[in-house]
Amino acid sequence: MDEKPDGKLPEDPLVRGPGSRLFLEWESYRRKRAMDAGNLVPVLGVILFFLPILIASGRESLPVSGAMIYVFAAWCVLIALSVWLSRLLSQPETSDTDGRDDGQL
Amino acid sequence: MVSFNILIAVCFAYVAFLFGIAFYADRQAARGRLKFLRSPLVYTLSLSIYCTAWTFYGAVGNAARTGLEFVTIYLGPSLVMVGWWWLLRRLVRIGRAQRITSIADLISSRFGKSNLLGVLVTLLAVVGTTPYIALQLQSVTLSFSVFSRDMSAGFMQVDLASTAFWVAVGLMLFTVLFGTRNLDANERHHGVVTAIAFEAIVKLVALLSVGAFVVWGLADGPADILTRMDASPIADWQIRPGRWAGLIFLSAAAFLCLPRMFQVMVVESADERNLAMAGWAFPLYLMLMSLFVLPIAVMGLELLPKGSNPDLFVLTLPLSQGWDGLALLSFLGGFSSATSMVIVAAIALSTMVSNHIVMPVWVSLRAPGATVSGDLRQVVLTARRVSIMVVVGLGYLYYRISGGGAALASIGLISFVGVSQVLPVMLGGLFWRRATKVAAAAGLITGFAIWLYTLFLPSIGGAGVLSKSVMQDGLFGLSVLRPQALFGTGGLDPVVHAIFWSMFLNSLVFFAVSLFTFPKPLERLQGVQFVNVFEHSQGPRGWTTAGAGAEDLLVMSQRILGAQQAQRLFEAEARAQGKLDHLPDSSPAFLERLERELAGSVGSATAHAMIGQIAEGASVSVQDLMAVADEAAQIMEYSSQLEAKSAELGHTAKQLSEANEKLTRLSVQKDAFLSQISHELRTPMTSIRAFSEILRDMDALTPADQTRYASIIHDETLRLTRLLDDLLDLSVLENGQVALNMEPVNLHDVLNRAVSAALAPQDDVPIRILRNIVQEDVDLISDGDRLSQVFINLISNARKYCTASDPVLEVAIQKQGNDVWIDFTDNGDGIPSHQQPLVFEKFARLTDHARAGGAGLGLAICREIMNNLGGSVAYLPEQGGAAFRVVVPLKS
Repeated sequence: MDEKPDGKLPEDPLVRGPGSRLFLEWESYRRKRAMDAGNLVPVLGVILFFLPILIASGRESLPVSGAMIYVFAAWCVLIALSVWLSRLLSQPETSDTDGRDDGQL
Repeated sequence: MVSFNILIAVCFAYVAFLFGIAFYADRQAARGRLKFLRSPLVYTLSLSIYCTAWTFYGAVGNAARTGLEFVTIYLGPSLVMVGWWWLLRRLVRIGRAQRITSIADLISSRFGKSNLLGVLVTLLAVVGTTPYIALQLQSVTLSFSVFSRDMSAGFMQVDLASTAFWVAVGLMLFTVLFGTRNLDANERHHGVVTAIAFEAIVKLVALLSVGAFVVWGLADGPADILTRMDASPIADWQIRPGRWAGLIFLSAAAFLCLPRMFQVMVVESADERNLAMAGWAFPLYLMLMSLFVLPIAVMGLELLPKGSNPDLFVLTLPLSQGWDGLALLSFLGGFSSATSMVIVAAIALSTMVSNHIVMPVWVSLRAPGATVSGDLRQVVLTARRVSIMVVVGLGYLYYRISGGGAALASIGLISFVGVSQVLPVMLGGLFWRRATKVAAAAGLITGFAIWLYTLFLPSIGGAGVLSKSVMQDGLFGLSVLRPQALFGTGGLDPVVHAIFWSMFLNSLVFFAVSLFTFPKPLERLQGVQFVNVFEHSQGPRGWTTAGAGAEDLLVMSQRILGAQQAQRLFEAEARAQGKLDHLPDSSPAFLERLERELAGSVGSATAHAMIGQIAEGASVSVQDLMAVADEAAQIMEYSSQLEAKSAELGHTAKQLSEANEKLTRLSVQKDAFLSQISHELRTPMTSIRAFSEILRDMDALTPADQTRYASIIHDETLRLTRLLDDLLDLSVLENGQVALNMEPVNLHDVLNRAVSAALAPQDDVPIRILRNIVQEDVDLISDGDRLSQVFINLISNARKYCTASDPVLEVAIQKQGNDVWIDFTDNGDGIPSHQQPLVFEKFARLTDHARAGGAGLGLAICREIMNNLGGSVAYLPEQGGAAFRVVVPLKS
């Protein structure tokens, strides 16, 4: 992804798209932000779901009920974030937002 | 109590209903009413085949044994789904852009359409999935047995094996019917997907109902359940960090790599926008599926007698409380989970087997090109149907051989680890352009081997495959090679141990080999297509058009896609190209599109090979280009050789034609010469005859007349003799047979001799000759007599033809290198330029005959003499009068 074909003019919309502009329209900016968030949600999920290991390592034992509530709560948070994100990301792309930003990391 | 007959009837009714749904959906799809079938809801629900009977029943059992750990296998897929923007979107986009038909096709296509990789992944998938199918059969059979356990009225002892057999047969039938109805280029099975979506709802409703019954029916709501939970044996649960993390990772990996998941997630995906909803809705589905698992386990442990199988709590709990209807619903939920998994897995595997094993073999066995006889479509469908039966049959066989039981129950995770071996190669292929085919194969084989050794083989039959000594002391007695403690890592859980080592070594080999190998051109092309899928909406330019005739392509496509669809495709393309007839030009773009369409039916490797056969294997790869360049260089060399030869030939031809021209000229000259000579001979002969007749016949002649006539005759014979002498001389000179008397001579002497000889007999027209005695003093080695002959000729010509009233001939001498130039220039009118080329020709007399007194051979003889002496004589134009230059070498 980091290897854009060289030697093409940036004007070629198929290669760079308007993303090569320095400043984006407000809508585009929002969209790009949502894409960044879309990439980060699974990272947050990993941390949330792996947290019980760290929590448990500090104590004798973890009450099952508490652990269950925590896990499901974390799950719900992730789902809620996901709902919000997918609303942002599935909005029809305006002409100059252009979904060609391929979600680079 | 539910009677066995009712159970069977419900089962049949349910299956019939599923058939109906599938049939209806297929009909709707055929009519083009796809809106609902392609909706995000159906897509999300179809993903639920992740929740198999193993998770439906087994999750509760798992929860009863290991507490909250059961949830890990739902957490992994949830993470993958919420990260759809990053990974799944890419996967689906690639799947659609490249018309990927299976995970094996994805890997094969990514690494240069390599069929080797396709076969590897297919084998891995079959080995990994077969036990899983067996597990589903076991679940269904077990659930049947639960109902038959209470032997009441009308119940007969259910033969478990025969139940499994009939379930397997039923599933085969359904899958063959709806999975291979048509060979859709998009490889979508609307009927199957819709039926699965329906089953997903049944599963969820069943589990939620049992959960609700447990929480609000058996316990006093959530708070009460939580209290009971902490009081139950499950409360002893301790989180095992290795397993917790390992299983979350494993389930995420398996979610991506399981052939059936890939089938519904990528292959059946109609629109990547569906992911936006699935991204949150599927995690929600999974959460709901697991929400009541712990409560059911807790209540089961509490209420059911000790020793009850916790795997069946979902069924036995409602049954024990007399809630038969709920139990039946729960049974249907489990039944749904099992059937949907088997159906999709069988479709996915059959696609892989037929596309990567059967079709390549079939194609390679047939004569190449479009001349193959028979309907290829039928071959593909048959291959798929047989593959489905083989896959389900293998599952059944595995179930029979393993004998069911606990050994089978653990196979779920083992199977996950097996199919997850594709993950490094898949992710590497999606994100890393420099990953190579060899590396992918090496990584897959490494991972597969380690999985077999550390997990799969130890799991089956204990002492059967791997002996006890191997298990305890390692292979060849090396303790570092103990299957469940590689390199001394014995403290790990066997599954985590296997995940770690297989994934680590798989990735290590994959990356290391990639670093040391170089991808083939097609791999690099595909690599760019995959890694930069969002930048390249256009596909690779795969084919040159040269060899592919549109008719051949149409014939072949009809065999695979079916006549109607193929013709539609071709017509559309022809219209797009602006052509009036139905056949489009086989442009690279069209070939590529066609290849993808075909790839949807027979897999990318086979489609590539088939188009390749028609397009004369003309895939434009850098390799080919290099070969072409090589060839071109050879051709150029050859052609330059040809050119040289042809130039040589041309040269020879030119020489020939020159020679020919010369010969013709010579022949003409010879004719002219003959006619001239006969004329020249004839004229004096006529005079001689006439006067000799007069002398003979006339008696009364005066002596004066007699003398006059005799002297005429004498003159004429002299003239004849001179002519013949000249001719002889010329002939000798021309043939180069002349004997030259080369000796030291002085030019001055030669000129003296010539001047006196030339002027001696003449007295009528005096000509002054201007000479430079100092210049003339040049010593030569030459034939003095011949040279003077030339000079005499030139001087007498000047005397004869110079028209000036006071004729003067100037003889100028100059030395030029090894030559002496002797110029004879008179002050007459000279020779007109158009006649200049002729003066050295034989019998060339420019003026009237009378004055010449010669036969016109003088200059011709001069030229021949000079040629023989190694010099030349030439006319010098524009010198004020007639000017000749004689060039004599100082030494011959």
